[in-house]
This record gives sequence, structure tokens and C-alpha cells, in this order.
Amino acid sequence: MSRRPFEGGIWFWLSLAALVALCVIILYPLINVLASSFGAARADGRSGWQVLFAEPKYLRAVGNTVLLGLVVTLTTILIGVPLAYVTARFRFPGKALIAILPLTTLIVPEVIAAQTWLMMLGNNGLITRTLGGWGIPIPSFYGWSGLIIVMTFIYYTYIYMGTLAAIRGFDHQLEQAAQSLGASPGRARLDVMLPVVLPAVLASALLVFTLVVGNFAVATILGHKVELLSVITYQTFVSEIGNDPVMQSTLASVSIGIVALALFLQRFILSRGRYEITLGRGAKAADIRGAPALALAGAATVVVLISLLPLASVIAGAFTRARGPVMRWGEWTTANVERVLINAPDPIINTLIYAGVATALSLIFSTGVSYMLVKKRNILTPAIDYLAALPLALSGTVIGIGLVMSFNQGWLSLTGTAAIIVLAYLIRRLPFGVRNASSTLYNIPNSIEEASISLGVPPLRSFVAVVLPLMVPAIAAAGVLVWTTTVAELSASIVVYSGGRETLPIQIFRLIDSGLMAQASAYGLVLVSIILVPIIIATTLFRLDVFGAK
Amino acid sequence: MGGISIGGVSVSYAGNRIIEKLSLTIKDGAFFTLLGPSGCGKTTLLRTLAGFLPVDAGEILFGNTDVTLWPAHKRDIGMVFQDYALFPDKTVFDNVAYGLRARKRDETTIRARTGEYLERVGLSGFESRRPAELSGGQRQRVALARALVIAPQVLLMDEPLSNLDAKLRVQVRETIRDLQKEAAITTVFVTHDQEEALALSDAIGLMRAGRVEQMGTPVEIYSMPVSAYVADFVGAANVIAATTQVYASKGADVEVQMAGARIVARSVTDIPAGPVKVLARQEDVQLYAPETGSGIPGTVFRRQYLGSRTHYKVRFESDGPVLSVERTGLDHGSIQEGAAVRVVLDKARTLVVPR
Repeated sequence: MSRRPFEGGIWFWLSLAALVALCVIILYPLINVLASSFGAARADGRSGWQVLFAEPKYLRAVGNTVLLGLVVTLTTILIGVPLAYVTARFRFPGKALIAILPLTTLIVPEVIAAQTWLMMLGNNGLITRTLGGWGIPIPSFYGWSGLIIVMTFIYYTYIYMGTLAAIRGFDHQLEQAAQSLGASPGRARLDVMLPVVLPAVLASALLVFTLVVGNFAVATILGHKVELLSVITYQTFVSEIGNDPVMQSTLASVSIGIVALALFLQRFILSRGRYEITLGRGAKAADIRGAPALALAGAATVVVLISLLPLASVIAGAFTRARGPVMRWGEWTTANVERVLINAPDPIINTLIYAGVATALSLIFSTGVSYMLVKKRNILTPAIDYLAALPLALSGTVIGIGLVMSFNQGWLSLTGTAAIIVLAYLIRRLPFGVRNASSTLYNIPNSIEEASISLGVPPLRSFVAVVLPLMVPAIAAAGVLVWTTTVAELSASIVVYSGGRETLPIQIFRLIDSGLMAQASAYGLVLVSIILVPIIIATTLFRLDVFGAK
Repeated sequence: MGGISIGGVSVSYAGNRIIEKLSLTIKDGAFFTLLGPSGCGKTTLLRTLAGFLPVDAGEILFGNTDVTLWPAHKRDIGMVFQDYALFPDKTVFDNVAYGLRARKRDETTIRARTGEYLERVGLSGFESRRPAELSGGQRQRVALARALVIAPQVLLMDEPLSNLDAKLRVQVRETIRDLQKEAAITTVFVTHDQEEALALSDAIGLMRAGRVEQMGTPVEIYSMPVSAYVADFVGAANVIAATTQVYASKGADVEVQMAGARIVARSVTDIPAGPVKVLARQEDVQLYAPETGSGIPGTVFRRQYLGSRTHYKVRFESDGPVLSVERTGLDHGSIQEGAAVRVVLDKARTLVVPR
């Protein structure tokens, strides 16, 4: 047998510890959810699945959710792909504006996006009332139209960024080669570019579909009479008339199944056309002038302005006088902001503490796990890799329900504590942290660590002395990213939180529910600031590439 | 100080046995090269000596000390990597001083030793630069200084020159040899470049599929290859199928039949009668005008004039093998394509090896 005096031992035990931890916090709740869906849901002993197929409300919700997912995926592609193509290939006035696009999706939490669209286009909205005053009726924003519009403008950036990266990495010479063989420029572009860019579009489309299916904030605030899976799952969970653990598990399982099916389909489509994508030099952007330039610049500006609308209206709303639910547009005040900062700062403090702890834990855990995945592979690491990526396919609501069901009582009782909120945060953002740290580690050659060891420094100290310093910029960038997405987290935390532990998104959600838009805007402004300040510090002071990390 | 003895070492990597019961001895202070094609196990053996890979069996001695079970950081080695492996966030000075600091030398000693070694590799004045601000050759010099400054018991080098361009390779090669001689550190150098191996080494171990095919001085490896594999890997050689009628003992001249002719060649080892191979380096094959009468008749079918020499391809009349011939000296390019020639293989320079 092999004689191993080496440091393999300690890493094996560490990876075993990581695997056990992941099983407890991710796999165990997931299995709980899936398993209890088969329990008796009704007095007559029917299981959750039998009820699901028997009661039309549930099937309608499933149908609506899939339909919404497909429609929004399509609309985001229709906006995101042309926008990416235009930015990659042309230079036109105002192009710099588009550079801020990725920022807007990051800094505006979904709950605020939904709220601000309501403030503008809802029944009491500024635009609705203004146009109504002129005698122009606007159809109700609640239901399908609101859901589709808001989700489209929240999610199209994912398609845009994914496609842009693919087009930029696409070797322009392929296109020229096709032209040299007699294809017309347009034809050449379609023939050679499409197969290369398609996988990227498909991958981001799947991401959008997953996000729409799992979306809780917009679905709840704007869904109105449209039944959606995430909404009735949550309602089944909180329902006061006997909350329904079996039905909630069944519904959660259905949404896991939808995402799993979408993932499978994507894999299937991609595997049918397997080819190596050679990355080369992308084409230089061409100048365009005159009317086409104006049209492009105009279209791009409209998209950007609509994306920025939530940001502008949350600022306006925060400083607008309100009497109950009625906004007095044009009358300015600082009272809303003062109230949330001085009289009711608890949600702010809670958010800072929970997200701070979760971000710190996430960085430590994902750096350690990534190190094992990249540099110290053993028979356990593939399982760790898989488990750490699993939360990507689970919506926040599902994760929240799984945690509550698993840690309600027994050997590890967390319900009602702050720990369960931190845990929910940690699980939801784990895949991002791990992916980020792994990609950095792949770029650090093993030989650097070995050089240190050969010079007499023990392995663990070598890692700390020479590898960790090289990871610091990436860890810091990941930290900013995890922070910004964690403070905005709603769908899992609203399931696991208990009274007195409201975070900013939860508080904003509750205020929207009560129609108190001005106060919601004030908290929203604080939330956006909490997100924005670290980004500004990181990108300007430390010149970190926060968005490249995404 | 002391040499290295490797006794019956077997090493596996990712479930495959890469090195099988390998034994060899490296003399104290020698510059020893592990030479072989990629995948022959030479880097695996080097990493095993460094302590980065565990052995399945066997033992490794540095001097008289059994280090088989020692982890890498305790083995007192200096290592130079193919990709330099400099710490990118540290200055040249801090890179070189790293090993001394790990050994907790006092700051005055560190300053003096680091300065001394930077001067030896010709990089005085570069102390505060970072690796990214250096050329490839300079980086490898820093790596060399970093490995040598700690005065290790053993210096290990993993293809340290392969990332440099041809001119720099020769320069850094000379630096390596000078410093190694000066310090008289037992050195193991891994390369697939036969010229590097011949130029630098006191001894070469030519590896093939996890075993040492031949050990010897550069002259022995080149002029007395024990197999067609060695002859072909170190310098180009013509390998021609032939047969012998009698048992040939090592070092004896033996008559063989090849290409329809009989020639005499020297046997490198004991070989029973039967099929053999004849080795002839291309610069050792003589071409004469057909009217001389001796030698095997053939035709030149390709000629490449290279300035200092000319390469010819010759086909035997008997439709036998194709020979590569290199001529130097006066008139080396004088034979034209299509010319009839007589091929003469000098018995002192033509070897017989087992088939």
C-alpha cells in the first residue's frame, strides 16, 4: 500500500467536515421537503401529490408559473441579445450609458423594483393618476402585464451580460473566413456567430427562467389574481388556518422539479451540438453615424432609463410627503427618512448584523471549500462541488421552508433565532462564493505553493503566506458581491424570520403590503445606500473588479 | 552534503504506476540529468525526490539520511520550476529572502546573503522590482537565486529552461552550470532537450516508461547507446534492421547482414544470433563515389544544403531502408540529387543492438 507521510490526511478530514456540513444545511432540508410531500395532506389521507392534481388552483399555479417563466425568458432575450450585439459591434453616442446596466440590477433589490413600479403605474401610481387626470385610462398594472414588464426589466441584464461576454470572446476571424468562402456578411455572421453565442444565451436564459420561477417579491406584490407557485407556496406556509406542511412541501417540490427539468433540457440541447469554442479576438466596434446612430442611441437610452426608473422613484418617494397610503407628489419632506433612521432603525441594524455575519462566514467557507475543490481533490470533493452548487437550482422560498422544517425542533433547533436567517443567507449565496473563489484559484499555479514548501515552509503556512495574499483581491470582490445580494435577500428570510428580526427587505415588503409607500421608499433608500457604498468604495478606492466576478 | 541514492522506488499517480522499482545513485556534488520524452516519468521522479509525491515502495537517501517519509518542507531542497513559480506579490528581494526568513536567519545575514546571490545571477539593482517587471530570463535567475541562497543539500530543477527562447536558454544554462559548480550542490535536472542534457551534465539517466534505460556520462550516452531508443533520442541515428549468424559478446566486432550486404560493427551488449538492429549516426556514415568499389551501392534522392553542413537521404539499391547522412567539411554539398553513391559504415562507429 502507498506510504503517505504527507499532508493529504488533514485535507481529507477537512473535506469530510465540509461535506458533512453541506449535507446538514443543504441536503437534509432538501430531502425533508421532498419526503414530506408524500405525507397525508388532507383528513381523508390523500397525499400532497394527489391533492395537487385534484385541486385546480394548484395546477393553475403551476401552469401560470411555467408560462410566466417562458414569457419573461423570451422578452428578456428580445431585449438583452440585440442590446448586447449592438454594444459589442457598434460605437454610438451615449454608449457609455449602457456600461452602468449591470449595476442597476445589482443595486436595486427586486422588492424595491416592484414597489417603485407600483408607485408609478399602480392604481394610485403617479403616472396612472397623471394620465387619468388627462382622461387617458391606463389598464391595471396588477396581474400579467405588471409581472411581465417588471420581471423583464429586472432580469434582461443577465441575458445581456452573458451574450455580451460571448460575442466579445467570439473570434472575428471565423466570420471573415466564412466571408472569404463566399458567404455574404449577414449570412456569414448568422452562420458562424449563432452557434458560438447560442450556448451563452441558453445558459443565461435558463438562469432567468430559474429566477422567474423562484421569484417571490414581484410575484407577491404584483401577482394579484394570477396564482403563482412561489406565492401559494408561501401562503400555504404562513396560512393561519392550519398551516399545511405537506402541501407546502409538495408545492416546493414542484418548483424544484420545474427547475430541474429546465436544467435537463438545457443540458440536452447543448449536448446535441458539442463543439469546442475557440476564444479569439473579438471584432472591433464599428462607428455608426446619422439616423441609425440616433435610433440606436435612442433605443439604448430608453432601455437604460427604464432600468433606472426604480432608483429615481425610490429616492423621490423617500422624500415625498405622504398621508397614510396617499402620496403627495411634489410636496417634499425629510420626515420619512428621519423616522426610519431615528424611530425605527431595527430593520437596518438587523440587516447589517445578519448580512455581515453571513458574508464573513460565506467568504471563509467558500474560500476553504474552493481550495479543496481546486488544489486538494479527493474522492469526496466531487460531492462537495455538487452540493455547493445545488442552491442555484433552489428558490429562496424552498430553501426557507426546508430550513424551517429541518431545524424547528430536535437536536438543532434554530427556529426563531437569528442564526436561521444567517444560515438562509449563507446557503443562498454559497454557489456564487465558491464559483468565484474557484476561478481565482485555477489561475494560481500549484508551483507557487510548492516553491514555498520547498523553501522549508510547511504546507498550511505556505498557503497562508503565498496563496492567500494572491486571493485577497478576488475574495474582497466576492465579499462585496455576496454582501450586496445578501442585504437584498427576501424570499428565504421572510420564511424563516420571526417577530423583531425583520430585515430591510422584509420590512419594505410589509410596508408595501400595507400600502405605506413613502416609508417603504425611505427604507428602500437606506437599503440601496447599504448596497451602493461598498461597491463604490471597492471599485474606486481599491479598483476591484466587482462585476467581472459575477 | 552527500549524494542521492534511490533504491527500488515505485511511484503511482492518479492510480497509475508511473515509476516501477527504479534504482540509481547520484554522486555527491554531481550535476545529474533525467532525460526523456514527456510522459516517461522524469518529472514524477523529481517531484518524488522533492517530497511532493509519496512512494509506493523503496527508499530515498540524501547522503546517509533516509528521507523517504519526510515531508517536502523538511528535506532541505532548493527547487527551480518550469514556470519560475515566483511569488508575484513579493519583490525580487523578498522572493530570494523567503527561504532564509523561513529558516529564521537574522536580518543582517538575510540582507548579505540575498545581496550576494542576486549579484551572482547578475540582478543587483533589481531588488525592489516585482516578477511582472522582469523578463523571462531574469525571472528564472531570481528563481535560481531563491533556490540556491538557502544552500540546500539538493538542488532540483524541473525543465527550468523550457520557457525561455533559444538564445536566453544558452545564457541561463551557463549561469546554472557556473553556480552549481561553485556551490558543488548535488543537482537533479529534468529535461527533454538532449542538447541541454549533454552540455550540462556530469551524468545522465535516460528514462523510458518509468525506468532508466541507460545511465552514463554524456559521452557514453551519445557514443555507446545501449538501445535504438537511446540512440534515436540522443542525437539522430539511423536504425537499420539486420541479422547476425553468430553469438556476439559485448564489445566485440560482429559481422551482420543488412541491405543485401555484409558489414562489421561493434556489439554494445551480449546478443544471441538472429535479428538485430544496426545503429549509425548520420554524421558517421560516409558517402563515396560509385567507382571506389567498396561499400553498399545506393542513390541520393534528397539533398538539403544547410550552410555549415548538408543533409542527404540515401536509398539502397537493394530497396532496403532509407539512410540519413550528414556531411561537413570541404565540399559537403557537392553531391547532387539522383547521384549514385557507395555507402560506407565504419566499424568503429557502427553499433549492433538487440532487436
